[in-house]
Amino acid sequence: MAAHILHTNLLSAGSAVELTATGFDAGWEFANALNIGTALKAQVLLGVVGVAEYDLGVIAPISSVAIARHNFGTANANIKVSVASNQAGPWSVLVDHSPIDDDVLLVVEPVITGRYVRVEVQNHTQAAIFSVVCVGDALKLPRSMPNGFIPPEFGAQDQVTASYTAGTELAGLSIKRQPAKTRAIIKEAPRKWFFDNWRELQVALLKNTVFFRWKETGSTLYGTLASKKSPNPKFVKTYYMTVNIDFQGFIS
Amino acid sequence: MSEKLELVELDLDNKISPLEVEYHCQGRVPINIQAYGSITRITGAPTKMKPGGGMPALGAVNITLQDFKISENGQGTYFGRLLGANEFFENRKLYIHHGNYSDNLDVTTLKKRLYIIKSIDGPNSNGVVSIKAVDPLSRFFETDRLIPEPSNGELTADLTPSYLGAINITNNDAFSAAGGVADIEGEWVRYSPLVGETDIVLTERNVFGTKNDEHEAGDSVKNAFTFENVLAVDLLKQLHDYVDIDPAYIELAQWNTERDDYLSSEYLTGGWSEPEKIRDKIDEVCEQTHVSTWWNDEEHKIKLQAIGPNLTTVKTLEENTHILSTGQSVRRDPSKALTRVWIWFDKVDHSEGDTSDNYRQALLLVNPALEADDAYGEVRGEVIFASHIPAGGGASVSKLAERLLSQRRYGTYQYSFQLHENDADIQVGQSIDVVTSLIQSKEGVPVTTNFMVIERDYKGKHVYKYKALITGVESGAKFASWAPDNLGDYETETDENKLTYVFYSAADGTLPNGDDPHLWL
Repeated sequence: MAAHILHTNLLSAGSAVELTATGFDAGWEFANALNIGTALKAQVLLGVVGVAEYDLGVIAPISSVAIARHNFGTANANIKVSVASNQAGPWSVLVDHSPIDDDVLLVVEPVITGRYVRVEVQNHTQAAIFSVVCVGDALKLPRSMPNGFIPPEFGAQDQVTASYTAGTELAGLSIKRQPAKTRAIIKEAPRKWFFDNWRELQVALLKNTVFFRWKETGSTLYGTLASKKSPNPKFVKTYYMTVNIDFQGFIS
Repeated sequence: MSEKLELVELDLDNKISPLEVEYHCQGRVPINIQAYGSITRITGAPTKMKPGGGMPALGAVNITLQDFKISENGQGTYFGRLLGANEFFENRKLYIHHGNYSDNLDVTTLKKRLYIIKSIDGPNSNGVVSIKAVDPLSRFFETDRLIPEPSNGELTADLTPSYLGAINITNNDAFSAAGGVADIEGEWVRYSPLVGETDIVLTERNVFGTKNDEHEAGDSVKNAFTFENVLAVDLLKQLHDYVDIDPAYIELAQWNTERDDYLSSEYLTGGWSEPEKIRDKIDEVCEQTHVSTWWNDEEHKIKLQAIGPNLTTVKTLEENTHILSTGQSVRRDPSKALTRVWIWFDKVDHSEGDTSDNYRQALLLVNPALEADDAYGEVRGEVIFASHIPAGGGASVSKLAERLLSQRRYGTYQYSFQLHENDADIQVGQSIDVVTSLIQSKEGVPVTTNFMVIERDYKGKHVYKYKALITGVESGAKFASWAPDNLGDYETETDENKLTYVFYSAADGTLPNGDDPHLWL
């Protein structure tokens, strides 16, 4: 049981270059889905395979793919992510996944090191649409600490309002969607883990939107820090530190 | 259960988004829509109709958005680039698509409110952008919209009282190419189609009741906007055309229905030679004919309505089944009550002001019951100078007086209420019968009361907020108009026509089928 945070997208790094992108609908290009700021979407129409290949510009470890918004469950779409050291191949399949629902997706696999990444969207039975796709090496939190997490699906804050007539008849309900909230407590992790990972994680948490999952079978939250204030690790023992990270975001 | 969705579309000249449509969303962005989730707040005030009072209070909307990087690695921000690509954004359209979230949303099924952009402020150092937009009637509120267009003609020679023919006025720029009426120091004269740039050709002197006189070189000559025996609705259409209102915003068939049902005898005569704000002139015409105009933001139309009896079925709103438990209130202001009204009409000299000695006829209508001690106990009167109602307009004046006294019986009587969107198909200008415990008889029974909706606003959470006024139409009262000549006898006519028109009755005062006679107006 481990928690994962994917906070860096190698496909939108400054050194990354799109080599090819085919099968994506006009105005719904693959590059749309790399832009967190706009949250524009990419779309592959029925009967077409969408393929995008990227040169990362650097050789990097890659372990995971995440998608914030998609309809792959509804559209029965399959996403395949392959990695290679040369564009000519051979390509190693990192992820070959058909989501069963439209929830936030985070797939974590054993690391493959490479410079080229290919993303394929296929087998869909209706137009497949996705937004904010992220490929990188997910950070694994150092210890399994299920007691330190509130599963985000139980942290939903959606507001439901009922309108009643003066005669007490129910006229209608409305829902206001609110971000789910959850707290990750990295508890008593070795000081070395913080020295190795905290700086990068802290910068990513403050600047980016991240994918966070508290255990393999849990829901993935796509969101940001609940507060603009940076979490502050504290020593609890001579060689161990603890930090509370409050996330807010959406599961689907 | 439904989730609110508001989608703002900026219809600027140059688009920068992939699908060439600039959508911004408040609430979750549907998966199949290319929209930016950039809106942080939408506020505003709806258009507010003034029953019988002419133009409404303008509707307006303020939208606050958060700027964002349009590309992960590229330069600039969305609004920075959008404004860079659209140096001129004033008076461009802004739509608010409004409805419920769906993962397979068809934007065309949403309600679509139309506004005109007036300003875009920002982005500021926090990336905040503010857009102000108003309804298209704002065109009338622009200060340079005057009627008639200012003109600066000047006589170059003396003019005798009997002279007809060409006169040099140095500059005929703002005069009508097709000919019209000019004002020479208080004497209105007719001129023929223009020839050349300095002259007008006089064809008739001292028209519109003005005094024939001699004039000297140097006297001013101004172009006038005039109308003679024009139906009120047709005149209002002319005034809208005058400010180049997009013809698509006017639902002419609806205007003509109002004209034919309620205003078929409102023939107006008059004019203006001093340039004044056109909205004031529209108010003037509307007040003399008891007409209102307003902008319907969902239908994208300027509506026109006469305040008169209901000729169609009136929807009843009941407290038990329609009116929401919160937001109901009643406001009464008896200080605005009327017990009598004087209306002067048949103006003598249209170049002179509104004083009683410049009118030939007047109607005084009094409701003695309202002046009795057990009512207001005093005279509360209003004088109206119906400068455009001509000599034969007695029926129009009588109708105006009756409706004014009826509407102002209680002063102003306003009812505010809220409806869930399931019941909120009621629009501004619509007449409703209300059954609410806030308005009771002395026995404590709710009294069905007729109101006219003057304001409709989306409050959020699928709830609409309404304001309505009593306009003097009695709930359940029967009204009809005389049947036109081309209809047959009562027994041979359609049910609709039987319910709409009055037919001559039998000698015993009943209709041929035994029904009681209907009141006719």
